[in-house]
Amino acid sequence: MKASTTFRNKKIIYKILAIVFWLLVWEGVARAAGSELIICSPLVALKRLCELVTTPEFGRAVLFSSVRILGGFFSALFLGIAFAALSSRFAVIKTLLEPITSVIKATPVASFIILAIIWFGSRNLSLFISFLMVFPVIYLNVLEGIERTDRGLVEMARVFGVGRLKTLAYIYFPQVLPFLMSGCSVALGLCWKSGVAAEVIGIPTGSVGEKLYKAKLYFETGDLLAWTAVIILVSVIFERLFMLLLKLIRKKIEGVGR
Amino acid sequence: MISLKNVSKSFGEQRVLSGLSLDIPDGGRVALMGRSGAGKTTVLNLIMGIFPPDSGEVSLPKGIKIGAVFQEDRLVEPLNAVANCEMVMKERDRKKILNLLNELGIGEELAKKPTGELSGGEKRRVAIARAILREPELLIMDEPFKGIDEQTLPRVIGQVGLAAAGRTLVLVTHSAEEAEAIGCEIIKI
Repeated sequence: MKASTTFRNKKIIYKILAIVFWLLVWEGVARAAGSELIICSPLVALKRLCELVTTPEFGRAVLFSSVRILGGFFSALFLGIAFAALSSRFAVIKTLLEPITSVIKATPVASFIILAIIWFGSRNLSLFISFLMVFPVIYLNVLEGIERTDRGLVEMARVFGVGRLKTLAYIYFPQVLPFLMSGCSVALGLCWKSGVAAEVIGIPTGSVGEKLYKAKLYFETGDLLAWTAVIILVSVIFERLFMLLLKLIRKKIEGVGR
Repeated sequence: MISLKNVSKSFGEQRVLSGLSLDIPDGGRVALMGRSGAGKTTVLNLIMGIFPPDSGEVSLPKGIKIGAVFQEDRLVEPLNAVANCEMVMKERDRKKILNLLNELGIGEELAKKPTGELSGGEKRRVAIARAILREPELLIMDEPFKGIDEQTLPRVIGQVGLAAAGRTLVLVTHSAEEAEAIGCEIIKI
């Protein structure tokens, strides 16, 4: 067996052991508390999760929230890249966006959530909030990537008479992609956290946030933890898939000409 | 005809060129030689239009196709050698790229690696291949053989000599031997 494979296997075992350790801690705390109202055991949460998965409500709620939160993410991704490109070209746009991004970054998400409820109601709240949280992250990362692109390479392309599209594909894209990837990695976690927080406050009917809110209201700790696990799972699965897609694109770009 | 008339250029307080005039006929091969800081690279940058002269005039045929080896390699390092060459070509021709790279001592395996992973001499050879594959009317080369090992150097010089046939070549070098091997007229500045 190769040394690298042994090392990877060991790492996986350590990760599993760490998870088991924390599950045992959770079990210990649940036993010590002695009340399912305060904290239920991991087994009870798992049992409740299995029950939830089989209900028609489950799929609808996951779909409702996912569509909106990911809608916010993709809108922010698209507009963040577009505005970063514009800002790198037109200083006036960069100057105009500077205070906005600073304010969004510094303002507590709860303030935006309350304002958004007043402005738009709660149905599409998570879409707006996830957009708002993701936009500055993507915009600033991509802008940094563009600004750090080697001017010498752009000059080289001009001397060689390389067209705009080719310059974009061969020079800007490979250099900006690592910045975009790091921005996406942060933004993906952020959009789920902020999106669900918005739903818990705004309580749009049929959302995951509403289920969490109701679980809290009726002290159904099992439901609360089960829904939390669902959010983590959906968020992690999407993050992994999306980052895998970006990595494949990067590999493809690095292998252009092979 | 490439023509520099009474050209001057300063960078801050430092005057690099002072009233330089130079004519390079179509198909001519010249090697600019001189001490470090004499303004050889500045002349190339003026011809390429990277910056304008402070005074005087630089003229070259409108829309002339340029292939350049810059003082730095200026390769897109996440991309491999083939992609770096493809970028400047009108039509993709992988076979042609691999053939030339091979002639310059870059085998297929090396050509598939991101250029950031190549050695200094290998990067330089990819930069030379890129300039040649552009099929330019004007070939500009700023110390193109810098960092290339002695064993590979003759074949690289040979390829540059072949590529320069029927084209205008402006070369900056510190070696009169290299300039003569390519058949350049030496101009001291």
